[in-house]
Amino acid sequence: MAGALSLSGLVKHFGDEVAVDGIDLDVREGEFFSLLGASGCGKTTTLRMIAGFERPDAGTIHLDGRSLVEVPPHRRPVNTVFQSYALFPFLDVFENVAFGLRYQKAGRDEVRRRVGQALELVQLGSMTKRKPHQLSGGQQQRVALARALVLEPTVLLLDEPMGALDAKLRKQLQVELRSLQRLVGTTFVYVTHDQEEALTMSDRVAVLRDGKVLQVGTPGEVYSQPSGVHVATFLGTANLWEATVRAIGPEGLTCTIGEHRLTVAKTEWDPAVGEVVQVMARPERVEVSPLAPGEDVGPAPRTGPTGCGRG
Amino acid sequence: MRAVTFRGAHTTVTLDCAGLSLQADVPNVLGEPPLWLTTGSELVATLAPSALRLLPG
Repeated sequence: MAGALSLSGLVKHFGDEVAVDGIDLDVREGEFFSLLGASGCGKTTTLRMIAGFERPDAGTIHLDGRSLVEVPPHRRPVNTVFQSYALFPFLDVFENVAFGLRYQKAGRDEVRRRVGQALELVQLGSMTKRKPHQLSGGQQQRVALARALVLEPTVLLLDEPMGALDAKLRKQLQVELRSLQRLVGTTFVYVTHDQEEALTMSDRVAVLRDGKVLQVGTPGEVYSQPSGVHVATFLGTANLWEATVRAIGPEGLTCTIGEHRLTVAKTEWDPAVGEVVQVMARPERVEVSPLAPGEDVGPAPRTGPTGCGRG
Repeated sequence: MRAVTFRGAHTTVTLDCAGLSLQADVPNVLGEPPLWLTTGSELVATLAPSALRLLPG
């Protein structure tokens, strides 16, 4: 089972609106990859183009080196799980999961075996005769997942699959879905607007805005080393200060924020002296301690191995 | 210290360091904020260079 997906120069318009504006992405085989962004950023449209539900205006989509653009949706080795589950209400759990196999004219024994395996994977082996309305939201989503996995897709696309679930169930399913992905080894492309969800489950995350990819990286990279202000503020809380670069030395960059002087470690992006920049610090990276009796550190916060300030 | 918000594993505080406002997450001790973390107390905030990140302006 491979599953390396490559998007290049992908563009999609709806009338005058640009939904996807030149997206380049490489998703690795067996990876849990998330497209993360606010509503209208182009993540679902990108997913729908991979699935074949939308045709790109420009760009290419390759799966394991093979172009998918001219392949109709039902011929692509991909499957999609939707937020709305899209189960057949008149079919029981077994028949919902078996539907795709029967469409492929699989034999009776094979259907029984593969549906049984898929339902065991999602821990619903004892509920085969239930109808969707007799299941909780989380159980319905598991049926949708089993129905998608039973066809053994090379890539599984998931469009906000936990969006309709309550917070507690969502957290539980996040862990289960991540374990399941590791077990089956299928490439997962997961669309979400939930930062915590993306950071919890993904091997890598692409942060999107206005149809463009702002940054791709591991959860740790996009959180700790955001490429810009939008990524920094979209992924959790960030202290942000406008600063001016005053000097560049071996120990780092000296910046001023109003009256305050800070030393910032060098990064791969180094501005020029005099340039106005933003300085970011995550709240958990600010060390706070009580002021010792008689201690006077001066009125201003400074940086450095021993730098400190009064709060 | 201007504001204190208990968040379970840590407590979020908003500090005013001579006009520079900053938010910090202080780890709780056995589920409780450290005793010295009270509104109005004088605190020291340390920002290591490695804790800071430069972003395009």
